[in-house]
Amino acid sequence: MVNPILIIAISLFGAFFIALISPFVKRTGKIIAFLTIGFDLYIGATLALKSLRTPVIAYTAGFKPPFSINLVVEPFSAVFLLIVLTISFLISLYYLAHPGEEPEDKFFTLLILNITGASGIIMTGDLFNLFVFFEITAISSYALVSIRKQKASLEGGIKYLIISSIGSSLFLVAIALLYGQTGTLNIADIAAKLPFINKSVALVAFLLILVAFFVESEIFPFNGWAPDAYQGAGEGISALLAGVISKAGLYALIRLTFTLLDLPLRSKLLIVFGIMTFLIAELSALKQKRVKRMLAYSSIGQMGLVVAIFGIGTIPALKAAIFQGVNHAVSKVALFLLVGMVIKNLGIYKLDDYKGLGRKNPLLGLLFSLAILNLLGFPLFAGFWSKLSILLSTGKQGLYLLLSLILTGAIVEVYYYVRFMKILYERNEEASHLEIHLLEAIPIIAMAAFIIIIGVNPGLITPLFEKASEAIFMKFSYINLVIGG
Amino acid sequence: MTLFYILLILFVGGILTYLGAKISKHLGHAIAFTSSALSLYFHSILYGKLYGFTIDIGLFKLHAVAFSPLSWLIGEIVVVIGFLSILASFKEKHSDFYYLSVQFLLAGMLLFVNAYDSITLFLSLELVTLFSFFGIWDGGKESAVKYLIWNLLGAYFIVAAIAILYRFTGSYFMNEVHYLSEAQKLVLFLLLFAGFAVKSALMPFHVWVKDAYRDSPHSFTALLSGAVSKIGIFGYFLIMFYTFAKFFIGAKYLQLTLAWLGGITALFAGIYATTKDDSKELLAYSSISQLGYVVAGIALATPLSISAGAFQFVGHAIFETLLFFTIASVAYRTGTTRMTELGGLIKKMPVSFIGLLFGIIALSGIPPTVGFPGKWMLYESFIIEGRILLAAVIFTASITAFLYSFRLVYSIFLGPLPSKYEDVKEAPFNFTFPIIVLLIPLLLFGVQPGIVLYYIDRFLSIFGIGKIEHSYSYIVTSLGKFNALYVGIVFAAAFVFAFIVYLLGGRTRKVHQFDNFTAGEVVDETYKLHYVDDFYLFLEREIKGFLKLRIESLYDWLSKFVDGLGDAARRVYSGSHGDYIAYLGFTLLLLILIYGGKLWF
Repeated sequence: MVNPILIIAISLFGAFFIALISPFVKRTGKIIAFLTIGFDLYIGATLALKSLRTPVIAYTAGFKPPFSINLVVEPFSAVFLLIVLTISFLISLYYLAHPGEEPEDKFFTLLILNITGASGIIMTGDLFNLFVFFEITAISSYALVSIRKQKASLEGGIKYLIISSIGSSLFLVAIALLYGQTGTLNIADIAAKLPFINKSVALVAFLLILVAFFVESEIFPFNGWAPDAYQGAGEGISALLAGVISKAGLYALIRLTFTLLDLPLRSKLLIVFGIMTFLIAELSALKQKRVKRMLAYSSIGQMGLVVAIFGIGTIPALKAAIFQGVNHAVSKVALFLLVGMVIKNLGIYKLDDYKGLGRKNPLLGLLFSLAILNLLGFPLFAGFWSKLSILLSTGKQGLYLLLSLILTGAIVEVYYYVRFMKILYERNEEASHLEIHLLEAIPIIAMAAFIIIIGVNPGLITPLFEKASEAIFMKFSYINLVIGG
Repeated sequence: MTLFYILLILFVGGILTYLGAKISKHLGHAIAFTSSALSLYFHSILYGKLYGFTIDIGLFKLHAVAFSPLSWLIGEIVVVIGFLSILASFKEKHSDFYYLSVQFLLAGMLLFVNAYDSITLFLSLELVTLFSFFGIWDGGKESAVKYLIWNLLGAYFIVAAIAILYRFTGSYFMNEVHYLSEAQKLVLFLLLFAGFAVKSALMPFHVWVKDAYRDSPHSFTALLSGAVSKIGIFGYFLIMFYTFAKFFIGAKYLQLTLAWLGGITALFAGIYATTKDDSKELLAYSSISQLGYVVAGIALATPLSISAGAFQFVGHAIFETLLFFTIASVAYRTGTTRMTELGGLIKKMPVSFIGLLFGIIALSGIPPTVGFPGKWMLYESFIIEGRILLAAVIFTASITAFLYSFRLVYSIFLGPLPSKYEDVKEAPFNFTFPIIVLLIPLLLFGVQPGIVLYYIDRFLSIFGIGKIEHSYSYIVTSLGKFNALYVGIVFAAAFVFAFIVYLLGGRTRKVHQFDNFTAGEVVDETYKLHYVDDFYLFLEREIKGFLKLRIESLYDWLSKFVDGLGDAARRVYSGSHGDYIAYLGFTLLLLILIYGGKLWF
């Protein structure tokens, strides 16, 4: 049997192995990181496939829950695990050919730790354990964002640190409240005892958790850190923020509000905050002059959209939200990695400096365009199906205002992205030629292939989302799974 | 499955063209030519057959069925114009991606006219939007962006309607809807109508047309105006006589409103067309205006008016495409589409001149061309229905068509030839071939309108609308009978007579264009004999006030407003962590205050 603990154990080993051997063998960090994350992905994929038939639960310390910490991989967490590990793997592949941030060994140690934390958040079945993994992810993220010793990086890191630690302390308070009421830290156990605990306490705990994970999943008005962090971080780390860290935060938000504290006001709050984030972020992106900052706002906006659709809470909506989450992760990671390649070669940051780059470098232009068109939800690309699913599931619930707001935001989004494409393809004789290392481009080409294959045949992947959305929809199956048998 | 293979040919052909063009330009051209010719052939043999396919892509099932005769008709328009446009475009400069876009666009349009469920409908609509965007992109990026934003807006109206329709019917099929209240039907109908109105450029959704038509590659403009605009027309037919048939036939007020919208579009766009200097802008407005007739006709929903509208859109596909091709050939040789820079090309480009001449004759609705029967039926149907005022508006619109048509032919082909065009030759075969090909139906359907009308009858009978009395050459209404063949013969005879008179007339002497004098002065190159600047200044002066009323100002204001919102939103992210902490704290406090006291079960 493949044990989910292996992911945590091997990653931690890999991370500290880099630290151990770095004084003796230089520049091995990226290879060890690649191997470790590759191994994680292998285990994760095996687990995920297995969990679609029978969910996998790993116990520690020889006790059954609720008396011990356990790791649970069921379809919903399996899908998120797959997203997070695949994206991390592609980022580590990218870093094989792309210079890592200095000091490199520390950077890759942090990177692996970050991914360990993210996978831990997704797999754990224990509330306090979740907090621990959450802190691992968060602290390594602060360091990763600010590892570049530049003003912007430090500024982004500090802001991230301040806001996010407020979030995590709120989360800790919520855990304490819930523990006081139920005497247990197991998620399934608390969920089962929910009807018997003090309603006001549950409500306050709910709001605290909501805010804590709104911070992580970049929901307005708790996302002040995000634009600066995205902008200041290295491009690979921005990709990590968009594809891994925010997705782990999103997972925790959904798991805790759907399974742990399944309160009726969830739906309203997720929708309201989600759509507000979407609109404000898309509007802000409209006026940005720097590419990374524009992408950052777009990332925030997409997270808002996904959260709002999760808020609808029906199975088609959940499915659509997961699908959109995947598409956003793929597109945005590809975009950040491409921007990374441009910055490595040319050191340009402003939108206007991209003039003619796509025309001069056809591969770069093509990949940029594919990622953008996917994100905007054009047909022949995966994004079309997820956006269509979103609109249909919104309409199905009769949420017309939400529907029209989504469409409004989408138009704004189309405008600034197409404007970016226009700049890429403008005539400019002075546009520079880029040295693109094939290894760097492979992860992005892989994502482009995914976008097109799923775009032509979405049926290849949607059964997975279907299972995942059923799993999160029926919280009692989760409770039964963990403490029932 | 033939339809499926046609789509496959176009998609695969598009990709192969793109790859082939990387090897050699001619290979790319050959592939594009083959795939568009094959699609034309295979689509043509589908005439009169039932065809369609279903594929399961996992998430949805896509159904494409030619469920109404219009599917084949518009499909055929698409493949014919598509083929001609690709042929002409070989002579122009294009990126490799352009040919892929055009073929994907053709596939998207064919899928659209056969879409049997709303998912396929929306999918194909987005395909059309995206790839016509790339087609325009090849000529001008700014206009392409404008096109995309507007057309996406339209597509979003449609997808919203689809989502709501799905909520109430639980089905993705575009069948007749039942069990909805009148108000719900009205809202859904209007949403869909607005979406298609963007595609067919009905006012007030027409503002993208001028830029998109002007800046798109010349041969692509023919496709845009001739075929892509028909997507919107097909959409009108779909919702008016299929999905919402009972509702629409019963809703007289709605029919009238939309017919008036069509009439006003025809008139206003005609007026705007007279004020344009760029010939493609002029034709853009003329295209909008002519499609206004179509809307007015089908919205009135009598058998005669629907036939008129349908006939008119077939005519529009022929003469508007023809006109754009003639402009394309002129632009190919002279490098400009501005009428003030042109003139006197009649002897240099005789085929293009003949094409343009017949094009404008048809456009103004003069027999014996395809433009006449449609307009004649339209007037008759308005008068029979007692819509005299509407008939008057449409008639006035026809007068504007005379005005701008005359300007078009005069400024480009008549008058003195600027010396820089001394060496201009007739456009190459790639341009003259489409012109000659389109002249055939232009005259044939003009004298034998029955060819088209018999086909439209099928549509009328399938949807139970009624029928009109006609044969191949005559049409009978309650007001009278019109025989297109006789009219054609009379016109031809009159022409022959005039020509004989011309031959018998006095001596003629050919002189050079500057062998001339005016007001006692000898003219030379610097003296402008050609009256093309401010051609209709006298008219423009009269309607200055009207011209100032532009819907564009509203849209500009809106876009500025959104821009301002963007600025405001950006300021929310002040960059100070103190602010962010305050946001967090206040929101948390607010949430606890709102929900704190309440029970939550």
